[in-house]
Amino acid sequence: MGEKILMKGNEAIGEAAIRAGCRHFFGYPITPQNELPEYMARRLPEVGGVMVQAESEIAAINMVYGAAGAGARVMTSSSSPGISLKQEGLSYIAAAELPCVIVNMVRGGPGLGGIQPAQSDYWQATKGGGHGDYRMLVLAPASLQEMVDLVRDAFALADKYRNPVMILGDGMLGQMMEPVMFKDEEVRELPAKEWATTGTRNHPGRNVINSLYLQPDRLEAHNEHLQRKYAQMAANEVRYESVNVEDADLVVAAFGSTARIVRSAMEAARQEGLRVGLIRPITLWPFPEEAFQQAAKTAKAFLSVEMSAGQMVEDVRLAVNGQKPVYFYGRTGGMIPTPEAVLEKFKKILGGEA
Amino acid sequence: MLPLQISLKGLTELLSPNKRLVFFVGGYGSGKTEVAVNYALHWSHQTTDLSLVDLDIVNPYFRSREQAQLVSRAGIKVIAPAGALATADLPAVPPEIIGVIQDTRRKAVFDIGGDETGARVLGRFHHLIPQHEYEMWFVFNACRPFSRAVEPTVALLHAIEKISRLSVTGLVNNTNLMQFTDLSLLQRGEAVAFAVGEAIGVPLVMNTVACTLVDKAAAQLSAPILPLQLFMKRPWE
Repeated sequence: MGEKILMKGNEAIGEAAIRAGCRHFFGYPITPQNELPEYMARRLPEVGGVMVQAESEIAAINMVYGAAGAGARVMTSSSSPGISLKQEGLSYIAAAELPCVIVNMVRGGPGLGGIQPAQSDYWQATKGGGHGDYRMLVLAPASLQEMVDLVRDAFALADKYRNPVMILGDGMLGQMMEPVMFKDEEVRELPAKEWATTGTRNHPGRNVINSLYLQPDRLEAHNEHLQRKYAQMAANEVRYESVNVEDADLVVAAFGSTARIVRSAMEAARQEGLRVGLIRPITLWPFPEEAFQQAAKTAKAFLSVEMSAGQMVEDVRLAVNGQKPVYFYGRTGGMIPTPEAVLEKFKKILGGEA
Repeated sequence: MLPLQISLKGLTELLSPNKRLVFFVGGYGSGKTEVAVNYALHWSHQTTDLSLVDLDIVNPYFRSREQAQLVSRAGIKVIAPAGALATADLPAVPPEIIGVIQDTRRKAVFDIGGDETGARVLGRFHHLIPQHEYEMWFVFNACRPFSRAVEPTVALLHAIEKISRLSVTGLVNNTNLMQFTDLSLLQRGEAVAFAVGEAIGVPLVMNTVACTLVDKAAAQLSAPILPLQLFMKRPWE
């Protein structure tokens, strides 16, 4: 369908998932992502799918484990406190190598926090919020159209690597409305999954979905296999957008809706003759290290702007590796940085006051 | 505060409703808040004792209470959950609402939450609302996923009437794609609106059109136009 429709971010994810062939959704309500399960509850039965409101987030993620193990294209969504509850399940899913998509519309934390937007689950998403050595691909859209496109890619990447993929948004992206277009053909045939419990047609015996390895050498071998897979993901799947970096004195890192605020501030700065550029990671893991390493050759300083107390800034520092100073500006608790305050920070850094 | 150089056909009548209570209901994300805030601001030029009641208890963001300062400056009393409740998504209904409904000298614009879920809150007041003193206007946007055709729009309208135990008395065509709105889209929206109106025997009371498009739209649309200033901005705008 080439027609634009006006959607809320949460609804757009739902429709994009359905068009990507997702027919199973398991969730539990929490603000500010409720429109997504609501949308799925309304739409999935129309296309022969199933939406279950589980008794808890923990139940929902384990239903995802089951459905993914049976070869289904499956999704769950929540917001920060609910995503914390899912961490055990995510670790199991990563260990059992099950493809699925998890959406986190981040809200202010820690604890129950509030219901306004935040990005303070960056560490949880990119460093493995659950136990053990595992990785998730983490995609961070900045517009609703990009969200729609990334949801489709997320399912394909999940299948390609047999790995969970997280869409990390924030309450603002979930709640705001923008026109979106569903450009791609609807997915009707899913790739064959011979590893799944349902994939035994062409070979004898059973497929077992499991994450328990009691013999340490077997577990180590499994870990080595996973690490090789993560290295492949890191080598092949980095995505970022880079704007005005070539001549920039100050290179700013920002993702998601914060990147749009930084972009406004950057345009204002350029009007005033300040050479500011933006690197917007689209994959938060794998992090676009190389983009920062390259920029460190020409830029004088870096700044990370986040709706957190400073999380992604650590990855920027690791990438820049001491070559140039890396500054931070953030708001927390659901407060949103203003373009004016961000511009002020640019001026301080470029004026040597930061 | 709204620069209106052009005289729009039917606008004066539109802003002198015969009823003192105007409820804006409609689908989730149909634009009720933007319409309610604009309508209240326009109406405030022609009347006194006007309140804007934020009865949206289903939406966590982008509610009319966020425009409280602007609306208060126009002399409109804002009634919405205060303090910590203002940023919550709790079914908190301020007690002053009953005063507005019962005091026949006062007028009010009500911004109701979306879908039948959002309209449920009206049912709690229906026994206090006199039949002849209210308008209930159904806002819809033909670019929203569940309002693109007549049938689902009518079904939603009936669901809202059932749960609120009030009757829709008029339609508001708020068809838009934000910055991508053009004349042909406005005309398509009006056509859907007339078809919905015909199906249920309710008039199209207004088209809402962004100020920048009003000039051109005036010649193309048949129902009155309410010029919209867009207040619900995102942080980078």
